[in-house]
Amino acid sequence: MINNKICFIYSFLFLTLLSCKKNVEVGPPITQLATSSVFTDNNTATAAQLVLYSQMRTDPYNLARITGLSSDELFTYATGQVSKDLYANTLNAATDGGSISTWPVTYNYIYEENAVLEGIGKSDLLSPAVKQQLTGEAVFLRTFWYFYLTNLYGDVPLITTTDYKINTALPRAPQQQVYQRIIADLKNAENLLNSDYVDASDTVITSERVRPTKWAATALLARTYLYSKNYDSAESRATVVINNPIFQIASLDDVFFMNSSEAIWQLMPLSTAFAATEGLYFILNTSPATGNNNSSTISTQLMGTFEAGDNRKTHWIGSYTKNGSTYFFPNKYKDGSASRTLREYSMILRLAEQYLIRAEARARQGNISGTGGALADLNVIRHRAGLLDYSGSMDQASVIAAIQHERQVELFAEAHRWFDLKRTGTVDAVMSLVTPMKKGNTWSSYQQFYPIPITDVQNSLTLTQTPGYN
Amino acid sequence: MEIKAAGDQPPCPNRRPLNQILRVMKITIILLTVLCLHVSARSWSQKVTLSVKNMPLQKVFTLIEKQTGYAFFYDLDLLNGRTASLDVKDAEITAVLKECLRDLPLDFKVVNTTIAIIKRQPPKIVAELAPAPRSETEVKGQVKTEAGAPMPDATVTLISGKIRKSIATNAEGEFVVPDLPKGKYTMEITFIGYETFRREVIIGDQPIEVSAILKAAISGLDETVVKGYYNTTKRLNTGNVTTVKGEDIQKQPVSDPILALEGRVPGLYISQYSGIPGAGLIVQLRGQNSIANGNNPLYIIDGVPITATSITNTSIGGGAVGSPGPGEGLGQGMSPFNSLDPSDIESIDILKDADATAIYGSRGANGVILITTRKGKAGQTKVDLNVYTGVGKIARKMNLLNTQQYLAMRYKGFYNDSIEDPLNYVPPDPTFDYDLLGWDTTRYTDWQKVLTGGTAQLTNAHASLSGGNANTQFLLGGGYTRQNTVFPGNYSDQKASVNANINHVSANQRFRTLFQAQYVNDNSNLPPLDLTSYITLAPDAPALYDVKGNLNWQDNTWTNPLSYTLSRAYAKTDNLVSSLNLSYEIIHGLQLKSNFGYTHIQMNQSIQTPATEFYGPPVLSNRSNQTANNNINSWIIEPQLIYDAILGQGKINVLLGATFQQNMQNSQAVTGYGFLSDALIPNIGSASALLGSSSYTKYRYNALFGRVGYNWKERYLINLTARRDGSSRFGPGNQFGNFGAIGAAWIFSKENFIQRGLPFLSFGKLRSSYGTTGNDQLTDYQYLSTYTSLSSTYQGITGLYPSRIANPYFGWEVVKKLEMGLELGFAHDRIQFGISYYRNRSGNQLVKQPLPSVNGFTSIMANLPAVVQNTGLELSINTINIKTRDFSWTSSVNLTIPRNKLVSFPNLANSASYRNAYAIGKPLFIQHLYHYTGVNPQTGVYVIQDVNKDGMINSLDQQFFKQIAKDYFGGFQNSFSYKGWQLDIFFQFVKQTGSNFLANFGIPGTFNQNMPTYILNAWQKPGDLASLQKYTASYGSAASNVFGSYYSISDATISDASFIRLKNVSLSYQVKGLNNLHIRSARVYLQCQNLLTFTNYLGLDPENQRISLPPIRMVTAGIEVGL
Repeated sequence: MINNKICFIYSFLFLTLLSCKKNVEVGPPITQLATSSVFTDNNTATAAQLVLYSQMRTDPYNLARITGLSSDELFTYATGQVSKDLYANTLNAATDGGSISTWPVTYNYIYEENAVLEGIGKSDLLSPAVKQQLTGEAVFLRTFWYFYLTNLYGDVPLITTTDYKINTALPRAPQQQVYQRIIADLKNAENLLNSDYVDASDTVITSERVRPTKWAATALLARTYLYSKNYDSAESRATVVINNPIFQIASLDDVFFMNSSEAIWQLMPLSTAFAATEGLYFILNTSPATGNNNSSTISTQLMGTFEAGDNRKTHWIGSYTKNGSTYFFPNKYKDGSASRTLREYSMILRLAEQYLIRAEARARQGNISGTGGALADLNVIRHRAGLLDYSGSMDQASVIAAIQHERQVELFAEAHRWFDLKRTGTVDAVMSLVTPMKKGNTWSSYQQFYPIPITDVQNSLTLTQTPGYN
Repeated sequence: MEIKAAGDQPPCPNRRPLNQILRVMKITIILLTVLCLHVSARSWSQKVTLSVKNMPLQKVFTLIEKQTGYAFFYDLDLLNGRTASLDVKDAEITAVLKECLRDLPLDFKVVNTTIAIIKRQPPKIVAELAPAPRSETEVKGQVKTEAGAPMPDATVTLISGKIRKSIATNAEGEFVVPDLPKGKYTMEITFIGYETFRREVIIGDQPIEVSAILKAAISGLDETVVKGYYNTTKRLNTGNVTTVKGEDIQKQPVSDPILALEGRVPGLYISQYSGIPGAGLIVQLRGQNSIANGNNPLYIIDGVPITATSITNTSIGGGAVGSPGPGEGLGQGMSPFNSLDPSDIESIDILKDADATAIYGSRGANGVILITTRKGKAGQTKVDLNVYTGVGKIARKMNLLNTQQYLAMRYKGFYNDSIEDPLNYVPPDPTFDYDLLGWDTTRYTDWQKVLTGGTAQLTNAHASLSGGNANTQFLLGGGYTRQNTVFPGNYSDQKASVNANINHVSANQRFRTLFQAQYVNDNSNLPPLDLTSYITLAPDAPALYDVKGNLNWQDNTWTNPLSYTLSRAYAKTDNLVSSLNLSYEIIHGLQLKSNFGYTHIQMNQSIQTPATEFYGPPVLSNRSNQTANNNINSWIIEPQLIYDAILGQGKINVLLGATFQQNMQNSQAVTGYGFLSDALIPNIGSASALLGSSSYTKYRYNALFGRVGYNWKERYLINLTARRDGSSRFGPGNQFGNFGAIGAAWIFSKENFIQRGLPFLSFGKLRSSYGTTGNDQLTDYQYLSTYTSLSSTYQGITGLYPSRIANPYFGWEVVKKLEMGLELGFAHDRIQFGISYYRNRSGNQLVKQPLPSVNGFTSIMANLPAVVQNTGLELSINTINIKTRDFSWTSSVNLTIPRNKLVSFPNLANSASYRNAYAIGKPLFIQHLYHYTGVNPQTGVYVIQDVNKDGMINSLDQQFFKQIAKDYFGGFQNSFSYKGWQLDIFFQFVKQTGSNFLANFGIPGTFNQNMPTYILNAWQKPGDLASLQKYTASYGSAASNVFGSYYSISDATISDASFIRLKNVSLSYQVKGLNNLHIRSARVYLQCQNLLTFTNYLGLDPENQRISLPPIRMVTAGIEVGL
C-alpha cells in the first residue's frame, strides 16, 4: 500500500489535468471564418471587400432622401420624427443624432476597409494583382465615405486603424485636413486600381460597371478638387474621365440602365427579384406612405425651377394621381416594386457630373466660352435634356449661376444639391427662404451639418457634438 | 445517452465521444480509490510498516507481532506454506491483514490484542453490515416507510443524560445499538424528508426490539430541500433555499411554470414581457449582479441544465412575442419555459446564497432554479385525471380619450400653436391631418376593445398513470393545453406533453436507477406583432372594414391594424429533456453515482406576410416567407462519489464529482421574396429570391466539484463546497476558475439552556455562509475575431464581414456572496419565521463595453474593474392560525427589500463608456435624465432645469435624479380548509418606480396619437398651474421641441408603478363518498389568476411598463379525479 497522502495528491493533480483545456476547447463556429484565414485566400479576401457593395446598396437612395429633405428638393409624407426634423431643418442632437443611421453605418464601412487593408497588408498568400486591386478598392471606398461624412457632418474623426483604443480617443479632424486625406488617398487609389472593370476574380475584365476603377477614383478626385476650390486640378481630372471613350453621354431614358455608357460606377441590386433601391423607394404606385420609403415627392421649389421644354421634367419626374391629388416623384429609375426583370443599377458616379464639374471649374477660372470653355460642357448637358444652348448673360457670375441651376435639375435626387449649396456658400441665402416655406421654421446656419449620435459624444473622451447642437 | 449525444455531433475525426466516456471511467476509478483510502484511514490506530516480497505468511505475522505487540493465533495447516507480498507504510493493521489474506480462503478475528486466523466463512450481507456482536443491553430493530419499504441510512440515536449513541440503519433498514447502560432513553430516528420518530425506551436486562415507521414529513421544517447534488431538510439546511411545491404551481392557471413563481419566493422578481401566451419573462434573483451580461439564474430540470434564453430565431423574430435580439434580449421572444408543462412539476427549489450555489461554480452567480418532476410512488396503481377550462381578459385597461376629447385636444393644439407663433402657423392640413379633415369625426372606436378586448380561452387536460412496488415505481403522464389570445383572429398556443419515469432499486438496495423523460410539443400561432401597439390610434380613425367587407385603407390615410392579422407567426417547438441516474452502493455509506442528461429543443418558425397586408395593388416584394429552425442539443455527464458516515457524535457527508457538458445550438433562417401570389407564400420554393442566414454555437463546460458536510448532534452544521470550472466562452488562458463556499448553521433551540430558558421556542437556527460563484453568461466566441457571411451576394460572391471587435483577454466575472439568516419556530412550529440578509458583490464585470460608433462597432466584450453590490433583507412568516379537525387556516407572507449599488468603479469620471451611465454609490438602475421642474404658467411649456447653470439646456444637464427600481416586493397567502373545502388567496405586492406612459407615448396633440385621460389636466391658458404642458399639433413648436428633446428623457417619465395584485384565488371541494364508484378521490375547483390589480400607475400595466399586452385575468373551473 502506498502512502495515502501521496495517492490523494496524485489523484487530485490527475483530476485537475482531466478538467483541462481540451474539454473546454470549441474552435471557431462553423458558420464563421477566423479573421486570420480570411486574407490567406484570394476568394475570401475578395469577399471581405465585395461585402461592402452589398451593404451599401440602399445608401445612395438614403443619402438622396435625407439630403433632398434637408435641402429644397423633396417633400415627405413620412411621419417619423427624424424625417420631419430633416425636412423642417429642426434636427436636434438628443433624438435625431442617433436616428440618422449614416454616421454609425459609414464608420462601420470604414472599419471594414481598415480591416481589409490591415488583413491584406499582413498577408503574403494573395496574388499580387488581387492584392493591388483590393487595396485600391479599400482605399477608394474608405475615402469615398469620408467625402460624404465631411459633407454631412463637417469636421469628422479620421479613422485609419481597427484599434479601438486609438479610435476612441480621436477627436474630429478639421474639414480641410479631411479633404487633404481624401485627395491623397484618391491619388493613391488612381495608381492602384485597374483601368478596366473586373469580375469577382479581381483580374478578369467584365462589362459590368459595378466596381470602382481608376476612373472612379479620378472622377471622385475631380469632384473633391471642385469642392476644395482647386479648379485647375478639378478641370484636368474631369477631362481625363471625359476623354475616356468608354464613357459617353446617354439619352435621358437610358442613363440609369445597368452598365449604361454614362456609368462610371454603379451598384448591383440585392438580386434579380428586386429593382434598384431608388426605383423601389422613390416610385409611387399608390399615395405616399408614412414610412421612410415611398413617402417622398418632388418639392414645389424643384418643380418650379425647370425651364420650359426641359425633357428632364417629363422623363425624370413621374406622377401619381389619386382622388384629385397628384404626387410628383423622382423617376430617373423606371423600375419599381412591380418590375419583374432587372434593368437598372444604382448610379454612384456618372459622366454628366464630370461635364458639369469641368464647366464650373472652367467658369471659376474665367474660361467661359469657346471649345475649351465652360459653356461648351454646359451645353452638352442642356442638349441631352432637349434644351438649346445657354443664352443668358456671359459674365462669370451668371454662368456659374447657370451651371448651379443645371446641377440642380440634372443631378436632383442624387445627393448633390445639399452639398452644392454648402460648398458654394449659398446655403444660408437659399435656406433662409426655403425653410420658412417648408414648415414655418427659421433657418439656422448650423443646421447645414447634422448632429452626431449623442451616445458617441458620451462614449468618447474627445468627440464633440456638431457645433450648434446642444 | 452518450451514444445519442455523440450522434448529434458533427462528424469528428478524433472520436471525441469515446474519449469522453473513457475519461469519465478513469475519473470514476480514481475518485473511488481516493475515497476508499480515506475510509480506511478513519477508524484504527495500530500502524504497520512493511515491505516484503513472496514472504511466507508465518514470517509476515512475526514481523507484525514485533511492530504492534499483537499476538497471532493460527493453525499451521491453514497457512500451508502460503506467501504474501506487501509494501505498506503506517498502514492499519486490519488493512494489512486484509491485504495479506485477500486471495486466500482465510479470514481473521481480533479479540483484544490477539489475532486469530480462521477459515473464511461464506459471506452474509446482513452479518457483514450489522454492527458488532449482541450483548444483553442492546436495542435492535428495523425502520420502514409507511409504504413498508425498508429504510437504509436512517440515523438512530439513543440519548440518556450525557450518553448519546448514534448508528445508521443497514440496507434492510435494520439496526443494532449495543452496549447500552441500563436506564431510560429517548430514541430518535431521523431521515431527510421524514418526520423524526421519537419514543422512550427502557433498557433493562432483556434486549429490546423496536420497529419504527417513519412518516413523510408534513411539518415544513422536515420537508426535503433539493440542493442539486444533494438533499437536506429545511431544518438542517445551512444555505438559503426556497421551495415552491407543485400543488401551489398547479393551483395557478398559467401555461408557463416559471410564471407561477411570481411573488412567492423572497428575492425572486419575475415579470412578464407581455400577456401574450408564451411571451418571454424577465427573471431576476437577488437583483442585478452583472452590469451587462447574463442576469439569468441557472435552470436545471432533474439534474439537466436547460437554456434560460429564448430560442426564437433572432434574425426573423417571434412575431408578437418579439425578437430576442443577439445575445440576451430583454425578455423578448418565446419564453423557453413555455415548452414545459406545469402539471409535471413536483417542486421548484430556488437556491440563492453561496452555500447553496457555489457547487454550481461559474454558473451559479445569479442563483439556481431546480425543477423536479413528479415521480411514481410505490403502492396501488393509480390513475389521475385533471381537466380545467376557463376564459381570460386583459387584467387592465387604460382610460383613453374619446373622440370628443381627442378632437378638442387636437384643435386646442392647433390653437396653441397659432398663439405661439402666428407668423409661421400652419393650420390643419387636409393632406396630413386626416383625423380632423379627412376621416369621419363622428366615429368613435375603443381601440383597446377592438384590438385587445377579446376573450382568451384556456383549456388544460392532464392524465397520469403511476404505481409500483417497493423496488420499482413508474409514472406515465400526458397533458394538453390550449390557450388562445385576446386579439381579433384565431390565434393560439397549444401544448401536448408526455412525461415518463421509472425508478428501480435492486433487492439488496444497493443499485438504484432512475430514468425520466419529458417531451413537450408546443404549437404557437400568433399575429406578426403585438396589436396593443395600435391602441393609441385616433378614436375617430376609420372603420376596419369597408361596406364590401374588405379591409378599409381609407385611401391609404392610415395603417389598418387588422391588416396585420393577415400575417401569421408560427412557432412549433419540440422539447425533450431526459436523464438517467445510476447509483451503486459499493460499501455501506459509499455510493458511486452518475447522472446522464440529454436535451433536445427544436423550434420551427415561419412568418408569412401576404401582399394583402399592404395598401394598394399587390406588390411582389411585399410578399415574404421567413422560415427558420433552431436546434439546441446538450448533454451532460456527472460522475459522483458520495460517502455518508457517522463520525464521532455527528454525521459526515462527502461528495466528489465532475461535470462534462456540451451545448450545441444551431439555427438557419431563410427569407423568400418575390412570390407571384399570396397563395404560393407557404411554399418557400416558389420564392424568386431567397436570403439565408445561419448561426452556430458550441459551448463546452468542464468542472470538478466537491462538498463536505458535517452535522454534529443536529446542532452544529458545517458545509464546505468547492468547484473548479472551465468554460469555452473565454479565450485561451482565461478558461478556468475556482469557486467555493463555506456555510454553517447552529440550531440553538437544541441547546439545553435555550430549551429551559425559552420553552416557547420550538425551533431556532442561526446560519451564515460566504463564498464565490462565477458568471460566464456571455455570448459565445466573444474572444474570437471572425468574419460572418452576409446573406446576399455581389458579383455572385457571398460577402464576408467582421463579426465583432474581438477581445481575447477577458475572464470570469466573480460574485462574492455573504449571507446571514435566522430561522425561528414558535408554539410547536405553528409560527415559523425566517429572516435573511444577503450581500452579493460582483466584480471583474463582464460588459459589452460601449464604444463610440466611429469604431465601426458600438461595443466590445471586456472585464471592467467595477464592483456592483446587491444587498437585501428577505423575510418570511408562515403561520398555522387555526387548526381543528374540520377547519384550518394558514397564512404565509414573504417580503424582499432589495438594494443595489455601484460600490466602486476606478476612474469612472474618465471612463468614456460609463461616466454617463452610472454613478458610484448609486444603483445601476439610475437614469441619466433631464430634470423637469414644472410648466411655465405663462407659456404653458415644460421647464427643464439648467443644472450646470451655463444658460443652455444640453446633455450636460442630464444628471442622475431618479431610478427605475423596486423598494420592496412580496406575497401574502392565506389558505383555508373546511372539511372538503379548500380556499387559497394569494396577493402579490410590489413597491417600485417605473416608466410611465409619458415615456412611451408621442406628443399630446399631434396627429393620430391618442392619450390617456390623465392628459386632460394639461395647461389650458396663461396663469394655469399645471403639471402637463399645453397640447401642440406641430412638430416645430416650442412645446414639441421641449417634449421631444428633453421632456421625454426627463425624470417626469419615471413615476410610481407600485401595485397590489390579487394574483391567485383557488377554491376546491373534495367530493366524498365515491368509493363505491371505484373512484379514489375527486375534486372540483375554481381558479383565478390576476383577478384584481390595485395601482396608481400612469400607463397600461405596472408590471411590464410599456405598450404591450397586459397580463391576462384568467378564470377557470376544473375537476380532478383519482381512480
